[in-house]
Order: sequence, then C-alpha cells, then structure tokens
Amino acid sequence: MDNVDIVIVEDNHHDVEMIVDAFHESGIKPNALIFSDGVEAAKNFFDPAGKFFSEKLKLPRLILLDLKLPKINGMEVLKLLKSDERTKYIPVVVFTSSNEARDRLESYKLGANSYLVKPLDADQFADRIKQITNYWLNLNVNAY
Amino acid sequence: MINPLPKKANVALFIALAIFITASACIIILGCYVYQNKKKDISHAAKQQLTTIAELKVWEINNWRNERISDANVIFKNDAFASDVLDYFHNPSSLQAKKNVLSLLSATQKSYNYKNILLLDKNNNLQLALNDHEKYFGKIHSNVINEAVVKNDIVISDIHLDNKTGCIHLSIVIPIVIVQKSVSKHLGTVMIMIDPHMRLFPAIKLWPVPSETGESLLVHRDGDNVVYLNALRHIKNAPLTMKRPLTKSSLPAVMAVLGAKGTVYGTDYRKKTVFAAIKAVPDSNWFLIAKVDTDEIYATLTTRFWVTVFFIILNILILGVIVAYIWRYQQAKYYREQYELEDKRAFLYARSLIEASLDPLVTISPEGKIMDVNESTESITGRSRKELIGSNFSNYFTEPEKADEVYKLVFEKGAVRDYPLSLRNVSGKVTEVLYNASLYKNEVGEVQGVFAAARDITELRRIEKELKTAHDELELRVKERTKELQIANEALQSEITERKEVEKLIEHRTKLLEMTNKELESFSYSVSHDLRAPLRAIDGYSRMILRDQKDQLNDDAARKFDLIRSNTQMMGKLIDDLLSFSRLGRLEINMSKLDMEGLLNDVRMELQVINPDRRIDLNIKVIPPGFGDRTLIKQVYSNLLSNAVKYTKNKDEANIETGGYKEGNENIYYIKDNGVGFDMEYYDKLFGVFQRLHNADDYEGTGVGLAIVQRIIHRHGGRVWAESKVEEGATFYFSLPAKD
Repeated sequence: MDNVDIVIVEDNHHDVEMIVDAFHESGIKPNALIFSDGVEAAKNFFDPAGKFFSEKLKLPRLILLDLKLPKINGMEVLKLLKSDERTKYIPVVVFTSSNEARDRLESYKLGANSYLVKPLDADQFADRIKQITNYWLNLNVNAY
Repeated sequence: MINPLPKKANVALFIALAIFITASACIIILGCYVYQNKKKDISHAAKQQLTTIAELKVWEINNWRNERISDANVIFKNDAFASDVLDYFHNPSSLQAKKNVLSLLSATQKSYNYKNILLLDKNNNLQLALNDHEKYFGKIHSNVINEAVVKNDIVISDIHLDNKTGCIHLSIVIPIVIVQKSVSKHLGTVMIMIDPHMRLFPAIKLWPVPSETGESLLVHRDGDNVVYLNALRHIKNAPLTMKRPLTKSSLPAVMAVLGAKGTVYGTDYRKKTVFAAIKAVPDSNWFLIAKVDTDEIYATLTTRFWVTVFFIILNILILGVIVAYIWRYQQAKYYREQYELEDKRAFLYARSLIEASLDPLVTISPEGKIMDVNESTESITGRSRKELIGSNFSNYFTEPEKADEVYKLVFEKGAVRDYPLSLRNVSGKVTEVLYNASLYKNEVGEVQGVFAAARDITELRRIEKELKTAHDELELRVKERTKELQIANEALQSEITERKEVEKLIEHRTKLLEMTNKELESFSYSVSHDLRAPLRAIDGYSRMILRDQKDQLNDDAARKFDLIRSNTQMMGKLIDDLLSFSRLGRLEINMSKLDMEGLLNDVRMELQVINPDRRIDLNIKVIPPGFGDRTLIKQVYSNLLSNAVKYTKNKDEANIETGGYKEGNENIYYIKDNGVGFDMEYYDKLFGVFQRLHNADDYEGTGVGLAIVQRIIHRHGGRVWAESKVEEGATFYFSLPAKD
C-alpha cells in the first residue's frame, strides 16, 4: 500500500465494520488505514518506527476520529495532530456517539474540521459515511 | 463683647470725608477767586498808572512845544524885526542891519540854547546863521518853509535826520512878513533848529516811578512803516533809524499809528509781552506810548500766587487734622459707650447668674461679715437680705465654731470643697449642706474676702437612700435573672452543639451529594456512549443481513429483523429521554422575564415542522408573562403541546386552547386539548417516569415527557396538575411563582 486515503481511529470494531461496509456500499472504496486506539494512532503518525515514517507513506487525505478511545483518548490525539506542523493541515472529522456540548466545543477549539454524531439508525449511519467520504475525498481540496 | 462700628458710624465717616472734601474745594475756589481778583486789581492799577504817565508825557511834550512856539512868537509878527530883516536884505553889507537882526536871534538862541538859528531869504537861500551852517539847508527844508509861508504861521517840523551831519533835529519855521501900506510882503523865514536830545528826549525818557522796564515811546507813521522818534531805553542810536512795518500788528507802536487808543497788550520791539497806554500828541502826527513789561506788572502776582497756594494747602491740612481729630474722638466715644454698656451687661449677667443659683451664695469679708447674698440664701436662712448683710456668717450654722474653723481653712488653703455643715432656718428647721468656698481677690491680687456656696443636700440624701433601696432590689433581681440566664445559656450551649453536629452532617451529606452528582454525570456520559454502541451494532448488522441475505430470508424472518431494528431505535430514544430527564436535576436555571405568547408561537412552528400533515389550531388567550428559565419553560410547552398534538391524532384538527391567569402569588398557565383524554383513575401515574396511560402501539412515546415537565416546574417552585375525562380532552396546568 503506498497511498492512504483515509485513516480511521476507532476502537469499536463493529463501528469499523459498519464504516468499511458503507465504503463498499458506496463503491468509492478508498484506501483506509485503521488504528484501534489513541496510542497506535500517535505512534504511527509521530514515531519514526510508525507507518508514515518507516514506509514513507504520504499523509492521509482524511482522518476519521472517535473520541472515546482507550489509553489516549481522541481529544488528545486531535491535540497532537493539530499542534504538529506536519499533520496540522490534514482534515480531521470527529465521528463520535457523544452529542455533549462540552465535546463539540473542545473539538472545534482544538481544530477539528468537522464534527458528526454517530446516528443510531444504520441507514443514516451508512448514509453519513458515504457523504463524508464523498465530500472530503472527492470534493474537498486539501492544503497539500 | 464690643460690637464693631455700626453702619451708622461708617456713614458718619463718609459725611466727615465729604465735609473735608467740600471745605477743601471751597478753600481752593476762594483762593482762585482771590488770586484772580488780585490779578484784576494789579492790571487795573497798571492801566491807571500807564494812562497817567502817557497823559503826563503828552502834557509835557505839549508844554515843550508851546514854549517853543512862544519863543518863535517873539520873532514872528515882530514888525521891528521884520523891518531889520528888510534892511539887512537890502543892504547885506550894513553891519548895523546885521547887528539888529542878530541881536534878537542870539537872544532867542540863548534863551533855550537852541542849536542854531538861520535866516533865509525868499528863495530859501541862507542869508544869516548864528552858527556855521550849510548853504543848501533852505532847499532841503523847502516843504516846511512853504507850508509856513502859505499858512503864514509858525510851523514846527517833524523830527528828522540831517543826512550830511547825521544829527537829529527839528525846526521851527517862522515866516517873516512885513506890512506896508496894508499889503503883506513875504521877506523870508527864520528857522530855529532844535536838538531833541535836549529836554525833549530826556523828558520823554524820564519815568516818574521806579520801574525796571517802564519806557515811553514817541512814534509816527511813515508810509507803511512806523518810525521810533525818541531815544530808546533798550537800544542805542535808535531815533529815526528804527522802523517797523505796519504788518507787525502786535507792536503797540503799530497799534498806535493805526488808531488804537487807551491801554493794550502787545509785544514790543524786544519781543517781550508788554502792557501799553497809547495817546496821540495833539497838533502833530506823533503818538506817545507808555509801556511796561507784563512780567514786571505781574511779578508781585507770582509771589502772591505761591503764597495763596501755600495758604490753601495749609488750610486743607489744618482742616484734615481737625476732621480726623473729630472722627477719632467720635470713634473713641462710641467704643467707650460700648465698653460701658458691656460692663453693665457683664455686671447684670454676673448678678443674674448669682441670683439664678439654687445654692445659697454669699460673699464674706475677711472679718467674717456677710457682704452679699442671693435669694437662695434668704430662703434657706429665712432672713431678709438686709438682716443678713453685715452680720456674722457663722451665726446661721448649727455649729458656729466649726463654720469659723472652715472659714480659717479657706484663708490657709485658698479654697474648701464639699465640707459638710448644717444651716439653721429662723423657723428652727435644719438643712444639711456641703460648704464650698474660695478666696476672691481684686485686680492686684489682694484678698477681698471669701466667696462661699452652700449646697442643700437634703434631697441628695433622700435620693441616696432611695437609690440604695432600688440598688438592693435590683441586685436581688439581677441575681435571679443571672440564674435564669445561666440555665438558658446551658440549654443554648447544648443546642449549639447539636446544631454544629447537624451542620457537620449536612456538610458531609452535601459532599456526598456532590460526589453522587459527579458519579451520576460520568454515569450518564457512559450511558450515552456505551449503551448506544451495542444498539448501533445490532441495527447495523440487522441492516446488513436484510441487505445481503435477503434471498435466504423468508418474509417472517425479514419482518422480525425489521422489528429488531425498530426496537433498537426505541431503545435509543428511551436512553435519550432518560438522559435528559436525569440531567434536569443538575442543570443550572437562568431566571428571566418570559414572553409566554412568543414562546408558544415558537413551539407551534416547531411542531408544525415535525408534524407537517396535522392541522394545528393553537388559540392563545390572555396570558401573563412568566418568570423562569427560557429553555426549560419552552421545553415544558413543547412537551405539553406535542402531547396535545399526539393525543388528538384521531381528530381532523388539533384544537388547543392555552392561556394563563394570576391567582394569589402565582401565575397559572393551562393547555387544553380536544384529544382522547385519560382516565382520572390512573392520575397518580400520569407524571411518573416511563409511566404510560396509553398503548404504545396507538400512541408512541417513552413516557418521560410529563415527568420532565413536572421536574422542570418543581425546580421553578411551581406545581403541575391535570384534569381529564376519557374521550373528552385533557387540560394540563402548571403554576410559576409570580414576580412583581
């Protein structure tokens, strides 16, 4: 794999499966890299041993980030990403089940590019994933 | 206290000043008047003097002329002399004839010391002269000679200058006529030459009074000039040589020849201001001017001016001193009067103080005799002032020896304070007193006597006694009260201890509650995430099965998967409602005044959006503004109205009436619908969480809405209740505390 379109940071493998299922359903089929917790995500982005350094991968075009993660939570990952000169221009879409005002505010404050609440309804869930990928991978023009 | 000068005094000062100024002005005016008068007098005197001198001079000149004419008359109409002349002319070589003629002429010449006497013939040729003389003389003087011949009378010529000799002289021309056979025959003329420096000029020059500048001038007109004829006082060799044009009108000489008379002011040939008297000399074209410099005339006036000024200033000074002195005197008098008045007042003041005292006051002489008393002394002793004064003061005490002793003590110590004694009244009544006394001295410090005051302490003693009884009683009561208080205190102490324990307990509970709250919050956070995740998975996988394995599922299986999915959604909704309900207890409330009608209209619009197919008729009646948290009260209305819409779904139109009114100190709001209503039998379950009075299949819902309403209203300190009958609609009420 030499080109990553999207990085998914998500600990719930059911959600991951539903996301990937939605990719397949939509027919976009992006190259996705999945990190199941905050530590893994941080390591792969910033550690020289991580995937982006060792395999000399191009940075992803989108990061889909859950907030409730084990070890390092999503907010901290967001903070790391947005405070590093290299990664700060990657669009980050927060995708979480929380609709707490606290979480929304904090995310945007740290520089999240978008905030979506995971809907309970599976149809809506699939539809949202399709819209996210369509917008951020097809329509949106990135900084780099 | 001495009053400052009253306004009246200031007015007096003003008047004094006015008098001073007026008097000074009078003095100055008087001085000026005197000065002007003097000036007038002086100029009048000068005028008189000058006029007199001018008249005198003219009279002298006239005299002199008359004398000269009378001298000439000896020769004129002298038939004998005429015949001698005739003889001489016939025979000039005849010594006798010559001698005859010369005898009269020399006699005449000697009588006055005339300069020369000439005899001229008919043709004005010189025939004979007493002294040597020019031959052409007669030709030069032909005018005067002709005048005398025509007039046939003596003519005196004007003063003139002999160009040849440079001498000044005047001539008397005498025509010599002989009458033969009553026919007059002109023979010739005799000319007497006069030197004016002799007698005439000195006469003019002589000033009859001592004067620095007094001078007489003799002038005549010569064409456009005035000519000075006599010798001047201030310029030498002036006669006939000094001339001034007539245009110099300020010259008294010019004024004279132009016809001025009397006295005039002018500027003389020296350009000095002069005062002059002008007089014409009769029978001649001469004018006499007597003049004096004005400086000389007014010299005395200048002195007088300064003397006057000096006297004016002196007078003003004296006047000022007098006015100032009177003013000072008046002021002093005023202060003296004030001081005396003050003295009298002070005396009355002191006296009234003494008399006002309720304590008997006395002054006692060094010998122990009473000198003065006040009314109190009279009443306490029962004796009159007359009796008391002059008597021994110790007589009135019950123990006179002791009183004397105290009196001595005063002299020793200077004063005695609160010495207990007793006074005896004439009636025998004894009054207990405290005796106070001090020495009093005059202004040089000599002891004049003793000033004593006795304080009646009968009343004091009585009060003391009463006070003691009261005090004892009070002490007793205080003791009782103290005991009571002690008991109460102990009770209070134990209560305080209890309270403290309760407070501790409350504090503990509050902490506990805070902890619980925190736990609850993290619990609800977890709930929202962790409970939802499995539901999402169930729904997700169900959907995938329905999509991917559609062919392998029979209809019943597919229906059941759909049911799994809808139940999952229901579960999600329950979680949401439960979360928002549990949060209500912890939310902060922001109170503000609420426009209820506006809130209702907002909610109606939202409802219409959610239920686009329903016809909703919301009739808002009179509704008072409320006071509460805008978001929460809107939630209340939202829940109640959506219930109303929900439970009227069998009707074509949801008829909802809403309004409010004030009752006591709360506002009551209501929402009335025309829906299915409910059975009042289950009223107690109406506001319970997850409690439902209707079938979930007929009316969807979680059963949290009314519980939320109740919780919000309770948190506002209000109440919620409802009324209904099955199928007859329902009315929900809530109240909010009214705020003025």
